[in-house]
Amino acid sequence: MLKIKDLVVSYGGVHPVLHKINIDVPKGKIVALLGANGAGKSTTLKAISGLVKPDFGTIELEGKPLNGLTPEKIMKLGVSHVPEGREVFPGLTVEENLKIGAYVNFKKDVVKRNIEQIYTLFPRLAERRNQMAGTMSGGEQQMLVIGRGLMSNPKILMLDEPSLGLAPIIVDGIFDKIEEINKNGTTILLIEQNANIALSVCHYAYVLCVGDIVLSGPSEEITKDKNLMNSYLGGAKGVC
Amino acid sequence: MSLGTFVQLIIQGINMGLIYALAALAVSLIWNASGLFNFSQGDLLTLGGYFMLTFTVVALKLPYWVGFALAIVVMGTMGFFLSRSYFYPMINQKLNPQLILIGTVALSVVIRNAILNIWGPSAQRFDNPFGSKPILIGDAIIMPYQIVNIVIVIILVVLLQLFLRKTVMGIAMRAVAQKPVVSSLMGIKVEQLVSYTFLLSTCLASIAGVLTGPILPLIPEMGSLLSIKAFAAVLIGGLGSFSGALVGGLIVGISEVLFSTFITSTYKDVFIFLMMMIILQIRPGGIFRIEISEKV
Ligand SMILES: Nc1ncnc2c1ncn2[C@@H]1O[C@H](COP(=O)(O)OP(=O)(O)OP(=O)(O)O)[C@@H](O)[C@H]1O
Ligand SMILES: [Mg+2]
Repeated sequence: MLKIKDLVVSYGGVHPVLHKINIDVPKGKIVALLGANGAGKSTTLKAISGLVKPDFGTIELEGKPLNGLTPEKIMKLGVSHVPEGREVFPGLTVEENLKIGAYVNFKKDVVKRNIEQIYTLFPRLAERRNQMAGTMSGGEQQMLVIGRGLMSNPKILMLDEPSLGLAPIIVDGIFDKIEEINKNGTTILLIEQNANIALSVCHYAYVLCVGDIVLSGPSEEITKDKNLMNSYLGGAKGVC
Repeated sequence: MSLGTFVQLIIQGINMGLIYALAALAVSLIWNASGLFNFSQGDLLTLGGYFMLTFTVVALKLPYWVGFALAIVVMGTMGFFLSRSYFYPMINQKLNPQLILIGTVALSVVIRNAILNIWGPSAQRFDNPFGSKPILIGDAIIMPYQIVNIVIVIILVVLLQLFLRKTVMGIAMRAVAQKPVVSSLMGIKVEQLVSYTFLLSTCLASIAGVLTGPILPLIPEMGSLLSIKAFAAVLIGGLGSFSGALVGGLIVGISEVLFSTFITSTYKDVFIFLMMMIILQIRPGGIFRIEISEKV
C-alpha cells in the first residue's frame, strides 16, 4: 500500500539524515520502524506526510506518488500522521480535537458516527468529551491523538512513538487498541524505540540505524535476532 | 450629581468602550492566529468609517444598513487580500516578528495618508437613521444610537462566539492559532485560515468604524488615538483573550468618561496609560492573562 524507495532526506541541504531507505507497508498490516534516538524515524514520517521535502527517492500510496504534495493533499489521499509528543490542541475540548481530525472531509453524520466509534474504542474519551485537551493526563492525550488520527478514515495511520513517556500499564492498553484498530481494517506504520512492545503487535519490522535500514523482516524473525537488534537499538558507537 | 446623570455617563463610557473592545478583539484574533501585533487596526477602523461615508453620503447615497453591509464586505475582502499579499509572505518567511511589526506600522501610515488624499483633512460625518430625539430614563438622557450600538455589539459578540465554538471553520481557526504545524497535518490550509482571520478582523474594524460615526467626527488621524486606547484595552484585558478584549475595552471607555467628568478631561489619556502601567505591574499579562487553554 505504501512504498518508499531510495528515500534521501536532509535538513537544509547538509548531511543527509536518511540514506536511500526502502520501506514497504502492505495493506492491512502493522509495520514497525524501530531505531534509537536520532536514527531518522520521525524524519521518515515527516517526509511521507509532506512536512519535509525529500532530496531523492519516491513515496507512493497505492501506486500514486506523494512526493511534492502539500500535507493537506497527502492527508486527503488517506495518510494520517500522528506526530510524536502527544500534540493535542490544548485549548480545544476533546470533542473539538476529534472534529478537527475530520477537517478534510467534514460531513456531519459521518463525523458523528466516527466520534461514537472512537468513544467505543476509548471510553475514557467519552467521559471527558467536554474537557480541555490540555488538562488531560498523558495517557488520555495519547488516546486522543490516535482517535483524532482516525477521524478522517485514513487508509494508513502513522503513529510516532505512542509509548513515549507513558507507564508500562498504560502502554499495554494503548497497544491493545492499536491492534484492535488494525483488525478493524486500518493499515498502520508504527514508530517505536520500545522494540519489545512494538514487535509484540507488528507483522513486519524495519530497524533504522543512523539513516540506514540495517535489519528488516517479519516480526518473528526479527524477534529471533534479538541480540543483533538490541545492539542496533542500543545506539552503541560503530555498530551501524 | 444625580443617579440619572451617572447612568448617562456610564452608557456613554460603555459606548466608547465597545469601540475599543471591537478593535482590541481584532488585534487579539490576529495575534493568536499569526503572532502578529497589528498596529494598523485603528486605521483600518477609520477606513471602514470613510467607506461608510462614501457609500451613504459622498457618492452612492445608499441607505444606512446597505452602506453598512457594503462597508463590511469591502473591508473584509481587503483584509483577505492584505493577508495574502502582504502579511502572510512575511510570516511564512519566518521574518523576525519585530520587523513584521514595523510592517504593520508602515501599513498604518500608508492607510492614513491614503485617507488624507482621497477624503481630505477636514472632519466629516454620516448620519444614522436612529433619530436625534433623546430617550429620557429618569433624568438620564440617552441617545437612540447608544442603545442600537450596544445591541449590535452584543449580537456580534454572541455570533462570533458561536462561530468560533460551533463551526468547523471556527474550531480550525482556534487550532491554527494554537499549533500551526499540527493543524497542517489535519489537512488545514494554514495560509487560508490566517487569511480568514484577517478577513474577520477587518470586518470587525469596519463595524467599529461605522459605530464610531455618531460618537466622533471622521478625521484621517482618528485611528491613532483610537488604536492607542484599543492597545491599552488589549494589554489591560490580556493579549489574545476574547473576554479580556471586551472587559479591557469597557474599563478604558468607562474610566475615561468618569475621569474626565469628575477630575479633569485634560489628563484623561494620561490616566488611562497610568492605569495600564499599574495593572501590568500588578498582573503582567492582563486581567484575563491567557493560559493556553483559554486562547480564543
Ligand atoms: N528540523 C531539523 N533541522 C535539522 N536537523 C534535524 C531536524 N529535525 C531532525 N534533525 C536531525 O535529524 C536526525 C534524525 O532526527 P529524527 O527526529 O528523525 O530522529 P528520530 O529517530 O525520530 O529520533 P527520536 O527517537 O529521538 O525521536 C537527528 O540527527 C536530528 O538532529
Ligand atoms: Mg522521533
